[in-house]
Amino acid sequence: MGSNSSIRPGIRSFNLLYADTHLIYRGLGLYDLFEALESDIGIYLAQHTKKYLFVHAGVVAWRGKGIVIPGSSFSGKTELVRAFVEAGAKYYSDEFALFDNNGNVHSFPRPMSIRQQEGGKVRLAAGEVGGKSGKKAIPVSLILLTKYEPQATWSPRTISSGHGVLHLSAHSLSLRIRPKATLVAFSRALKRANILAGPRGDARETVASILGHKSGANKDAGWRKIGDRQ
Amino acid sequence: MNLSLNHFVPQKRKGVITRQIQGELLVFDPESNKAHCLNAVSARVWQLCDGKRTVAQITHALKENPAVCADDGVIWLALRQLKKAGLLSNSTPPPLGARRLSRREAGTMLGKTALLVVPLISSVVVPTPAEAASCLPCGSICLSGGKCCSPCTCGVQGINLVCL
Repeated sequence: MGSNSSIRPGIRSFNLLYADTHLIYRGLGLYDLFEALESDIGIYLAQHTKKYLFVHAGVVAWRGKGIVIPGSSFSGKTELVRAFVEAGAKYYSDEFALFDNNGNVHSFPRPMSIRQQEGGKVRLAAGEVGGKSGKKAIPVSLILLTKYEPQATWSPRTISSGHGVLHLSAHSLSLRIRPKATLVAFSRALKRANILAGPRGDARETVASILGHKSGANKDAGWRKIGDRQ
Repeated sequence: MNLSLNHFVPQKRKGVITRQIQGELLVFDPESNKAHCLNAVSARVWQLCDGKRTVAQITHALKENPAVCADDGVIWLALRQLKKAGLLSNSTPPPLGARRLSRREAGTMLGKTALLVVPLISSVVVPTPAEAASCLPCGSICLSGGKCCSPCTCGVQGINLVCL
């Protein structure tokens, strides 16, 4: 990393970030530079670690089982993860799901990166939203393939394990590099998981519907239906 | 059915990585970087495309399984889909005399059981690690295929492609 610190009137100082000889950031903002550095380290880890297979996804644990939310940037993963943590789920990650060869999911413990309406981001640890982080490797019981849509209500359809793997593949950082191991891990992970797909509206309402907290009548009914397939 | 069509010998592509999961077959093609999910019917047809069996023999082999509709039109539909997905190494001939069945027609013809017996292939392009990761903050170099975070877009700045 280098910085042009010569202060001359009318001259803007750019921050530069290199990975080896490759320029990966050139801009005025120091915060953005560290974001770029973090992103580059994440990609480097995904490419070089042999222990884990990376998927761009949010992860929480509910009753010792993993809920994985793969998705692109701006699909609302972090918002949903935060709502789960506020509802009592353990925080695992809002950026990467780390699968091992047995298909269990591990935590990627960095604070949640919450986008703000006025632009920019804040970082919040699970404790700051009243939750806890998890560390243990856990089996996956639910995959949520969803994207925030303002007018949508959560009314998901169940999709097959094969299509679930296909969706994980579309967000995998490891499949091109270690295809065989990745397909094995995804298949093992999804063998006994439920896979729900569909657009969602408000994150808290969606989480309440999934965890069966709706109106408190039959508190765990919803989760029993979808989360106890194993 | 045209006799020469029945003698066509389809050959599945080699060098792909496969994995069975609950009746479906996952196929990753490292050349095209595409992943495919084949339902039971298309998976069975693909597995029978060994470069030795003719279409007629494949149809015959499929008829041994009563759960699979081994209609000529269905087999050709599967072959067309497999070819389109890049999972056959030889070109399927145009079905001149054969009935060219579309997926919709096959579904209508077979009614409620269609999902079980109509060949279906879903495909996705597997991203590079940079494409799969979170979007790049403004100021990042976007040469490696990463997407820029809103409101920036990848544009030329000097000799670099930068999220501007």
